Amino acid sequence: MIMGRSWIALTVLQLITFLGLFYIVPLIEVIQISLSSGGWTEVIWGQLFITFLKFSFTQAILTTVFCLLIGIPTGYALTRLQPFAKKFLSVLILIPFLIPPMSILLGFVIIYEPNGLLAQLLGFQLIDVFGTLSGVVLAHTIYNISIVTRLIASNFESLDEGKITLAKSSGASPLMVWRYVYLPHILPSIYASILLVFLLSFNSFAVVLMIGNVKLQTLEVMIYSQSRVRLNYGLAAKIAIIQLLINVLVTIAFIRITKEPKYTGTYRDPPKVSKKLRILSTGWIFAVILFTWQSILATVYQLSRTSGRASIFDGNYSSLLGTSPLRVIENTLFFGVMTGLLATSLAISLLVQRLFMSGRTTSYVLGFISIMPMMSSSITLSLGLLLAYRSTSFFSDDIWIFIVASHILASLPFVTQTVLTGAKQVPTEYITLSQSLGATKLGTMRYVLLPLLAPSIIVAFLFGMAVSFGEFGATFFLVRGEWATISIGIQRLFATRSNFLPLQYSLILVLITLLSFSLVERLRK
Amino acid sequence: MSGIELREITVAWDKEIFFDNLSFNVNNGDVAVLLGLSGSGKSTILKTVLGVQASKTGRVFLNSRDVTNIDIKSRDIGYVPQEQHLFPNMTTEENIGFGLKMRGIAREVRKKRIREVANFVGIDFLQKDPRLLSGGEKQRVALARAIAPNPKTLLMDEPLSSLDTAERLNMSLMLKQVLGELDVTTLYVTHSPQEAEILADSVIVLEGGKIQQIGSFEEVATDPVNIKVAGILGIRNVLESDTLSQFDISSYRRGSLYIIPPSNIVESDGGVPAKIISHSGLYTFIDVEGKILTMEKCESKKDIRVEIT
Amino acid sequence: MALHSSSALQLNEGTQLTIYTYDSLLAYPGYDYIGNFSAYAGVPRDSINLVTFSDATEILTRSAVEKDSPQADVLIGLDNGLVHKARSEEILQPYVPSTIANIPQELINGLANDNLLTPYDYGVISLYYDKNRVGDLGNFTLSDLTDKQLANKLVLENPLLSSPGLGFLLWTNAELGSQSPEWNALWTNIRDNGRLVDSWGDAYNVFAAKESDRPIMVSYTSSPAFDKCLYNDSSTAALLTTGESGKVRGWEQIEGIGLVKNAQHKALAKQFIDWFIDSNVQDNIYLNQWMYPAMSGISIPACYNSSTYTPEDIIPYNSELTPQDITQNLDKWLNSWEELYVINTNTTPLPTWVFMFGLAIFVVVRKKYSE
Repeated sequence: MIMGRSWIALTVLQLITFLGLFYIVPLIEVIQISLSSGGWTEVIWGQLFITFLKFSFTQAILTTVFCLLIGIPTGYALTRLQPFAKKFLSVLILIPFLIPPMSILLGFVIIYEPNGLLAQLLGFQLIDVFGTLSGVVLAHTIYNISIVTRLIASNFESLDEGKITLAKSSGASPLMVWRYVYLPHILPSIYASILLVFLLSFNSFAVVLMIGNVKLQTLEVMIYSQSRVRLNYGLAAKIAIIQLLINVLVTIAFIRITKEPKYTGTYRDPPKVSKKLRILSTGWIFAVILFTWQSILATVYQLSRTSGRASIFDGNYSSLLGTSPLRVIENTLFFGVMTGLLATSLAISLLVQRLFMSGRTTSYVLGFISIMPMMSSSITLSLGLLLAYRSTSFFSDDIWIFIVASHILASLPFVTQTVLTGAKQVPTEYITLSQSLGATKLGTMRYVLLPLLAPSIIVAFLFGMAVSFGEFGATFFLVRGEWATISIGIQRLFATRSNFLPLQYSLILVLITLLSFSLVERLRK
Repeated sequence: MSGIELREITVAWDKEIFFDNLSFNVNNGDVAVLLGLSGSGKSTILKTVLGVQASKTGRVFLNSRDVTNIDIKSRDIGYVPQEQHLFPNMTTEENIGFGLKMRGIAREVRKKRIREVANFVGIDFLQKDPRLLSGGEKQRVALARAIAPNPKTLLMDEPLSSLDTAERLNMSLMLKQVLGELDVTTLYVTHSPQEAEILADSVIVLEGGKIQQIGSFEEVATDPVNIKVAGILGIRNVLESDTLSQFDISSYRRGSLYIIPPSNIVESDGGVPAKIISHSGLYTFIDVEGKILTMEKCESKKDIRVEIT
Repeated sequence: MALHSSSALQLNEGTQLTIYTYDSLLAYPGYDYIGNFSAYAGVPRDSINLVTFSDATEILTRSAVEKDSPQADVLIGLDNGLVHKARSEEILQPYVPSTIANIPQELINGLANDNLLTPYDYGVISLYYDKNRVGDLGNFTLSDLTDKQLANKLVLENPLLSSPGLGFLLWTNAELGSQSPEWNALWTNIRDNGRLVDSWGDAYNVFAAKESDRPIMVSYTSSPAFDKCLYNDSSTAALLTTGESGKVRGWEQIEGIGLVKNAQHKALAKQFIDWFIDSNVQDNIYLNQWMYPAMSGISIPACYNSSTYTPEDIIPYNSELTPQDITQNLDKWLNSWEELYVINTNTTPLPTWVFMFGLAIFVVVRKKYSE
């Protein structure tokens, strides 16, 4: 039936058009520009580049090391030392990772600036965070400990109690238990943590942009600076390609090194732990939580103290923001909803193809989409969008289209993963049955699949929305006119952070992000 | 007239050949039981008839109509899968009516038909949430759903395997009655000879990717064509050669095999030594010269001597 | 490194003119150039779309991004530092205003003798400081900033992002020579002890806030006039390098107004430019823009001369650092500056051998655990 065929073709078209226009074309454009002029040796051996490259690696490695040093004991304590209020602590520990970087940064700066909260408390400035390696590493560590702890804890949960008992009854000292039982078992999550934290820190944009003070830049910041500020597109494109290669190589190297997580054995309660130890572990975890929550707490504290006049309903900051403060919130919500809707719709398209079309092409596309996050940094992508579409009237008049597109791309891997995982739970027999009962593919989708997938779809939508709320890099690169989002608003108001508005914004951002993610958690169950 | 016909079907996947030029025919209105052990590929054949599994060569005919290249929804088939797979987002009634809805049947007509079918199959719980039904109840619903649109062909894939024994017997008998009254050609896949015995008009014994034997249950059970078939049918004491000590078992010859009823193996001081392997409820298993035989339950514990009468 | 803009009005079909400029143009206490032009040209006020940015540099980058489909018709604020990039990016088209005779030829030549930009004001980049908090700084030369104590009190703008910042860099280049030992010493000290911000506005905020303790900033010689003329406040002063025979030296920044290439509303744009370099606007430059008007013949207010250097005292370096020099070398100079600023002894990344060592440990550990 013609109707039946064409709707599937439409989904294919949607996917191809979107990816083609907003991902392939920009990427090709960047590659093309990078190759168009020579000068690779100047780039690779250039002073600036080498310094920033070293810096990118150094801070990423240091961050990873610190996150592991803190994350491993914390994950251990959380799962094996029976802290009080364990469930509550687990949730608290994860939250900082979900919060958009701009919010974290604001609080961070409030604490560590020359006249910041810490300096007020101590009477002197303990650590200079602006333009210093320690500052960047500190900020990154605060942000990433959460996810490492979570990963390690998950891994610990699948530890077979029998092994421990065996080791201990054979007279193994605690050190040996760690060396021969614990560490080997959590190796998969250690590897996953290393890869994740390294890539996130290596490609960091917001943090390094704001506190790097020009002196310190990751390659990501350098690409932005060379393209948007210096207008050296050729140079920027070359750096983008090099960064891409590094990311790909690191990820491939890691995939080859790591093994599949061995989730053998189900969780059994470990033997009772002494009260003293429980108190200690609770204390330690609490300290870590405080450490990772410091930015949020500082923001709240500062909000309660500040009586600046500017607020969401004030017009005073309109020129800095490019529009009214309320409109900034509207933009954020608008982008969030659009991203959620469109990313989910793309994911469903992908699902349809996987279900109803022959295997080869879809598995390629799927694999492609899962590699995407590693393959393109948001700044590189934005650069590509700029280079490819700058001469179009859409780019001038309707930049919001491109901002939404970049948000969709940022969220697509997560959204797709959610939808596909949900679909895996649906037995294929349902489709066979439905068809045997006379349903067309569309009918099967409508009456059988979509109702069953509804929870996953909602989760995917929320995920897309949350990613959009927090997105900074691409938005920062592209935004113009009246399209600032909350993240951008915070950044623009950074200089006036003691005033109400950026703090309010930060809190709002935190709240809406948390709301989305908590809904995600609820619905997952 | 042919109800279901497979003609020279070859199914292969990644260089591995499952079926090579397989053919069989089921008469219109008959219940054909495709009998075979797990992994013999019977589900694959079913899926080929259904239209889910593609064949490399060969043709599929339903009611003499070549459906080889026709998609599932147009084959006019009712399908009852192994796990009943009732749509969890619909009520029992909606499940049963799904096929009718998809074919555009009006609501009132649908309702009427649903009640009709439900009565026929013994369902009085139309509003119940399908997730709360027992195994047997689910099976009835799955059946009702499949036959509601009045298909010409019915495919059932080990429908009773997830039920307990008591339910299984009940359901088999119910199926016998239902299938008998319906004007439909059924292909019924199972590994259970009991179900075949109750339901089959013809039995297709499948093993090793080939059809070993086709016939009525009686034919196949009394005259299995080879030892594999005998094994599938659960026939005891099947021997391929007529040598068993000094006993002459030529009278027990059926075709190329020798089948000794368990009651004809008795304890006797004059017989040959037999080692007792174990006792079951009704039988005793013994080892006679390396061959495992079944005799009716005896009281002895250790070794005995037996004779074949 | 923040770049942003705002738009007071949204572009719609009724727009007859779009202007890009920086937000401090004629802002204190404020001359309503939009309103006045609207009256002058007989064009409704809300048909003029004014888009402001934090700095002229952002005007440049934004226009460069849009050049294939330009949104603006007129750019106000690109100066003799930024004109070179504007030229190479081809975002402007030459226009000789009907009122060009108002402007002295040397200003025109100092900015753009191909008429891509027409001068509307000029000033001299200088240090601007609070005498109450710093004391009198007397005979000053740039090299004095190699003193840590002095640099500790300095806040300056990023030359990559800010046009006065760029002007300051050009001043140091002109006086000391890019990458000379004196230049390196100066900038190293500024890097280590000065505070770098993105824009003049940010610098002023830091300067004004007592607790920041940065009572010296990079600004213009006319900045003390602002305090004197408006508030009768004599506590601030400007600082240029002491030269010969009682003269002082610095870098002269000439700001221009230009017509966007392929602008959508050329006719009105041209009219605006003609009007902008005429007496209506030029008369208001001294006391609203706090620069020197390009138009000749406007008498300087007394409060200017009593608060800062007179124009006769100043010998700009511009003749020694010609536009041709700048066109040729600007990118190189900016790179040199950035490299110096970035290659920082305070935050040395780990030496390579640490990486190798770490990698070796990693491999060994992994091998051990895979057994």
